Amino acid sequence: MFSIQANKEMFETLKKIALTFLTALPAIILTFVFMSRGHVPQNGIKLAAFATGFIFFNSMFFMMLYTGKTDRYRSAIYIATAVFFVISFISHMFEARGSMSFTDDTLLNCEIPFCHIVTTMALIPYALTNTIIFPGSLVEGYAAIGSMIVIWLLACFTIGRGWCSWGCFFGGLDEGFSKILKKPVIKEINPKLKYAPFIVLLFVAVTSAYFLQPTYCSWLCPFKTVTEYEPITDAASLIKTIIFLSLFAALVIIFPLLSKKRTQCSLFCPFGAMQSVTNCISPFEIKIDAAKCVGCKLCIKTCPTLSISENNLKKGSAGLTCVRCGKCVDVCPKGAAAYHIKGTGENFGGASRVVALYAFFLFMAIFLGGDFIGGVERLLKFITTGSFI
Amino acid sequence: MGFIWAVIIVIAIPAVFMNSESLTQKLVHASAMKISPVYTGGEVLKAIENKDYTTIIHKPVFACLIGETKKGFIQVVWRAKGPLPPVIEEPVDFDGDAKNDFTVKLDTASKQAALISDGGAAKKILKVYKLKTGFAVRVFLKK
Repeated sequence: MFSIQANKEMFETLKKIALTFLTALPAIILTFVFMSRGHVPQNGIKLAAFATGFIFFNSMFFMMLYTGKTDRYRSAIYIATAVFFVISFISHMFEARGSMSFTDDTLLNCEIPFCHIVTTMALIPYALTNTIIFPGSLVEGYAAIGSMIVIWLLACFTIGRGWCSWGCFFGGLDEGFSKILKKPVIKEINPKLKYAPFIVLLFVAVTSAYFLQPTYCSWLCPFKTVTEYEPITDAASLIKTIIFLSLFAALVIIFPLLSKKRTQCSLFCPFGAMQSVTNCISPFEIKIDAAKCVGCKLCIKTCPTLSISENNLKKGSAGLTCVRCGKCVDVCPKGAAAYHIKGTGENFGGASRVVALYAFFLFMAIFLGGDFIGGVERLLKFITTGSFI
Repeated sequence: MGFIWAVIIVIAIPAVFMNSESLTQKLVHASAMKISPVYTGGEVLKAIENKDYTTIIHKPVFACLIGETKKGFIQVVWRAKGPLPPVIEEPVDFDGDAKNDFTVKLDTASKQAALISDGGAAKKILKVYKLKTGFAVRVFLKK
């Protein structure tokens, strides 16, 4: 009797594994093509880095589908990618120019890698002068402006602000620190502060248009700490350095650690604010089923970007600033919060979740997979040769 | 309808990434997008070949959001062919009237530059840039 029951359970488990594998198979094939760029590397380190990236991304996606939990596995990819991106980027900078600070040559030759955050400042000057106020390359080279704009436009129409949980190569840093402590030391952040990035966005868009320079990049961006920065040559560059280091320490390390919230992304990043608007275009959203909701407010407490309020519970959907991370979906004890496709009525979770996860995961794996693999490759190089370069 | 739109998006993501290079080329070409002259130094006005270096004089830049501003700069670049002389004295005529508008005196050892102006638009040296293969200066102009 026991044996029949055990066999039945085993059969069910195997059936679930097989079905999950079949569901994930198209993503596995696509990520193989994109991560290998058409051919599997032959070199030992490159092959190991590719295999690590390919297996890690796909096993996390498999687990998302198999367990029904999203945020735990998404977060693992997202945080690891941010760390490997930093390793890869800094190694690349040292290889190309011997330092993290940019030189006069890189400035005048317009060779600075373009970051998506610059789009918040570049749009108005571009509309009025047809020029991009950034010393980068339009088409060629590492992180060219044109290619980043294409990817950003794609994100706007597909994953919306899901970018901030599935596409941004910086976001995993404050998310990583926000996951370290089990319980928050700072228990409450004024929810109105989630509108602060809109003020930052307005400020940097106007000042950048006026001065024709990306003021956020020049003066505020905390991520310069882990990418590249202006060399300290005068008082202004010293002040800039103090500002970005302080912001990094406060918004990316200390406050996420103490509050368990993504404070840089939800309280400061102008790109996040701009991307919030694109949530209106994206077909994916987080719905909260009022019939199932028991009002425990666990989703409000755990939302890393302060995007769910009691008002949102009444309305039945997460707020405009929602990053589609899936944390509220995972913690909801009654399954009231769920991924939903706009225009599909009461169809919560299930197929809607699978389609949404496919979009988010494919974007993440294709866009960030290269950074992950690049970082792993540098790390393996360091382990085997003692040098990242 | 919502599902169809969502599935189209799932297909569009790899399709766009697959064609991102050509889409980038098309986007840049179709939009006639350029890098701001504030960073490139503006269009090249003329290049003068010398024995040890090439002098590249850019057009004056008076960039602002709408129209032109009264304050701008002009960029002069020296691309070395071999070792640069200790001092370069470069007369610049940027308005094409066959008269020198100003002269830049560059000390290549100390990386300092001085402006010898005739009292026209050129007011001061904004910055000296040390390049891998030479130097560049930006001279502040005021209309």
